Amino acid sequence: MEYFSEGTGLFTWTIALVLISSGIYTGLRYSRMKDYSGQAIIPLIMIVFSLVLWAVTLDFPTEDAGPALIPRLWIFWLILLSTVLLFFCFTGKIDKDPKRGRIGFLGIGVGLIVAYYFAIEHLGYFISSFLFLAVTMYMLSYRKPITILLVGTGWVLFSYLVFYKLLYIQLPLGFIEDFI
Amino acid sequence: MELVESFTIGFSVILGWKPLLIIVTGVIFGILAGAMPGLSPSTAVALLVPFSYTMSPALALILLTSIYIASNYGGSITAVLINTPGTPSAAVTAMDGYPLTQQGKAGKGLGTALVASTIGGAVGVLILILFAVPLARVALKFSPADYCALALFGLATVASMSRGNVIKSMVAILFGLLIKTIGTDPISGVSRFTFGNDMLYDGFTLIPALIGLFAISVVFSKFETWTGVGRVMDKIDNKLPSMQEFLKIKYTILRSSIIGTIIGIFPGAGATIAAFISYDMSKRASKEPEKFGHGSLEGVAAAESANSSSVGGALVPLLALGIPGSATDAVLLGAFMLHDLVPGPMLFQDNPEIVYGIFSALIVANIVMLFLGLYGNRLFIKVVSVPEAIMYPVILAIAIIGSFAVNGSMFDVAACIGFGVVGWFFKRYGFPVAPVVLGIVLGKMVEENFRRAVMMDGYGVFYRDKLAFIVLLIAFFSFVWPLYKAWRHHRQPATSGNDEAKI
Amino acid sequence: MKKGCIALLVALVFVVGSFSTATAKFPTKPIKLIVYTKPGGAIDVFARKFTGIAAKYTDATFVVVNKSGAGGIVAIKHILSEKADGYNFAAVTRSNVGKIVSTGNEINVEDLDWMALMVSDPEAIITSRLLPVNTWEQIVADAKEKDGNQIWVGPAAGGNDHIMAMKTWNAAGIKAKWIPYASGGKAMAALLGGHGVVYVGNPQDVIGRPDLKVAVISSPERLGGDFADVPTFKEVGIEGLDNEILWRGFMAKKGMPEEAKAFYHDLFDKVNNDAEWQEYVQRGGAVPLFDKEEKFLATVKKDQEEFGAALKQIGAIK
Repeated sequence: MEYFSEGTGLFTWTIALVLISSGIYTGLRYSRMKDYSGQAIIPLIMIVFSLVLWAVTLDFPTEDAGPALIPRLWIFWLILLSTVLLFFCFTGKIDKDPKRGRIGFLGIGVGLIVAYYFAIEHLGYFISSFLFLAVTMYMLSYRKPITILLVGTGWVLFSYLVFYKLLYIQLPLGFIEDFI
Repeated sequence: MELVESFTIGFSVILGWKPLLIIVTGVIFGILAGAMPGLSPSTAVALLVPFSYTMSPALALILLTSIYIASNYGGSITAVLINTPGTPSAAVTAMDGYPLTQQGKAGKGLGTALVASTIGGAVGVLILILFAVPLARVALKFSPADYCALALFGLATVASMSRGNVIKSMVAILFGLLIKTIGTDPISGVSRFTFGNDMLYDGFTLIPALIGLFAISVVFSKFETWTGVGRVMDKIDNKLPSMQEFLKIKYTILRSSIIGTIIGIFPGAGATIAAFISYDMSKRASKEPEKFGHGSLEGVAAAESANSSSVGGALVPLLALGIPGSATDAVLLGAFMLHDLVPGPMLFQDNPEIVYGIFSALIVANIVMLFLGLYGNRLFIKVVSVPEAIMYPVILAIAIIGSFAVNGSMFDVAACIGFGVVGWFFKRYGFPVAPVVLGIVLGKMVEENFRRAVMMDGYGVFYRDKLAFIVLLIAFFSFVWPLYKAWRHHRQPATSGNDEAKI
Repeated sequence: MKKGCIALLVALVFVVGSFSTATAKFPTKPIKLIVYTKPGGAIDVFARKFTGIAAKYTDATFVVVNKSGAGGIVAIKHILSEKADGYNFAAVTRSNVGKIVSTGNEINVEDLDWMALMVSDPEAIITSRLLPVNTWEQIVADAKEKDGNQIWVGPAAGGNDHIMAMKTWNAAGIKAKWIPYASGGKAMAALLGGHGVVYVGNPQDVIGRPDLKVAVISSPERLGGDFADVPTFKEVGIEGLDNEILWRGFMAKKGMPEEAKAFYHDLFDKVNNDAEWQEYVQRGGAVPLFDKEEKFLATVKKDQEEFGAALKQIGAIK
């Protein structure tokens, strides 16, 4: 059993769980209950997450009231209740899925913030913050260049003076550090 | 009369333009830092510790305690206006404060939060001044089993917090609890679920998770429903609550202030748990429980008076015994040490001017906070009228810098974004996010104390320890009762005419 | 003419260049002192005290930078990731070594320059005056009576104090239970509340807390000041626990330039002899020390082995 608690074993276990749960989701998506398929996503993720962590606990020292006890308790209940929710999805005893919004647009937003995260490490905090604010405002169809410029500059100044100078928080400087 | 004498000393320390200026500065900084997600009270105080090193000991501590009390209030401002709790305990405030803003009643939300905070803060400080030593002694008598029962009682509040599907709330809280087990096991020292990542040894930090779940998730939801036109909140009402409305919630404020102080006294409990528990109790005691979660002034008042009064409570063990009761206390302890002082019973004897200086400063800081808050609210409320196309990018920028500021770590920033995605998923499918925070906050307290109790006295301790047993029973019934009521309600659709159906 | 000019210029550059290396000064910019906790932590106070006193002897600017996380691993890795130019050094304690072992980290202590061990804090067995059991004899008698159920409290399992407790049990031939708390302060609260009999810590923990007292101290001889009445382990008849300490000191990345090294050694030496510094250290019941380089490294390696063995024994590592 301990084979599954680390390395390739854990990897195989995780992949298998992801495949099975994707299968369940797909099955639901193309069944009569497709209006409830979205509701199944969180319970399925919770079950996979719990089972992966459960496999890891197999490796913990075995002792009375040891490190594995409480995690396994939460895992047990989480799996149980998630299964109940999943059951409700199959029987339709749960709210229907919300209307599908602009997922693509949201994807761009999430992409921007992830890009911002990586930019902070390379371009430094101040440059990337300015760019992030400007691009995101533009994405939200804000079209007043002066205001965009002001908000971006204002934020950079504020974060520099308050966070960097006053509170001495070491914001990453990125490549400009080499020029100072 | 000893007290009068002591306060004469205390007030003599803070009367003068310099100490008063320091209190005002501390309160302003505290409110702003509290409002800033990421600068929680402990971080805000910690950041100014180096700053206060050059001041005299009394002034340094006056500055830091003023920040402490004001930052607990500050968290409510962003919670009410943009659903982004500036401090963990304001997560509870957001549950009713933000609906108020959405209904165009931001002024009422802010006003209630301010007044409740001021009264709560004052009650906490009063109890601190009058009963610090005996209360601290009683709190020490609580065994690990009692703490575990108290934490489970906190978890049980999930039942009354949930709207809609209770199972969803329970999944959310269990997710939070499980997340909290990641990191070094507090009892055995074994690394759990860290997958060899250094950054996970301390587990996920609460603040970035909180910011992600609350602030980023809201922005993501707005992106999903973005219509392409930056809408401006059409009606903003900065009217304060009327005197009548205040009178209606006076008992809520008083009760919550006392609950908050008491919970604050227990080392390790703190403002967030105080807010959750008093919110739960107020909902039970309320004549209009159905309004909770939909913009109830009582809900805002319960959360805010409890978290502000917990400051006075948390200072009880620190000043009376030298035992830090909260994360911020631990920082204050360091500040004392930096000035070669040790808080505790000796401090009352050797440096009464410092102890009573702090007491007097806390009283003054509360008053200053009320006036600055009244003035500040008129400014803060303008935030709501900022076009959404500007507001959301700025909220994201605040979230990022806030989660970075906690530990100066980019890992926290990544975690914040990750929790943002989780929060968006949760919101989209009707899973509440507040229970996740509750789970993260209480997870360690439940586990540590449960295992300590078992290590000390075996599993039977939960039955033998009468106090723990009683608290556990109360926790059990407070969990089951709302579920039973909901179930009975479900069974008898005939009575669905009353308001409870909406809960 | 032109050539001559250039030659002159080149010569001048050389002269100026050699002149400046001859008097090569360290430091020419602010020095970062990395602290592994947030501001207000015990080691943060130590670091700030140090910079305050160092200011008497040097014009160099020190900036305390807090890099908290993973019990010091984050700070050590930060030091290792910076240049070894002497502008980054860190405050360390013995518990950091324990953390390297317990997290199974690949950090090699030989990559670090163990500059100076400055303070030696003796381990202390602390009891509460509110409880009937508060002297060493009473602890031993109570432990025998409870037969393994006596409760000792302290910070994290596998840390300094836990290991000290295990050593004490072995040496005294008693059995007891270790109940860890999230911090020393919370453990002391448990002792004051009577949930445990003994707390393991350092003498400074009882300062300002009149209900607590040091029952025995691990030191070759008695400490002075407030602790003059406290017996040592040898005095209560226990051998082999004369020098269990929690040290505090400074380290940097290995390979800093000679002039930086000389600057630090000179500075540590001066601070160590400073009256205010000695007063600060001794008030906490600790002893100023000045072990550098090889001797310090040897201590670190010895500690590493000890932590390794102890953590295996309690099952925290494999």
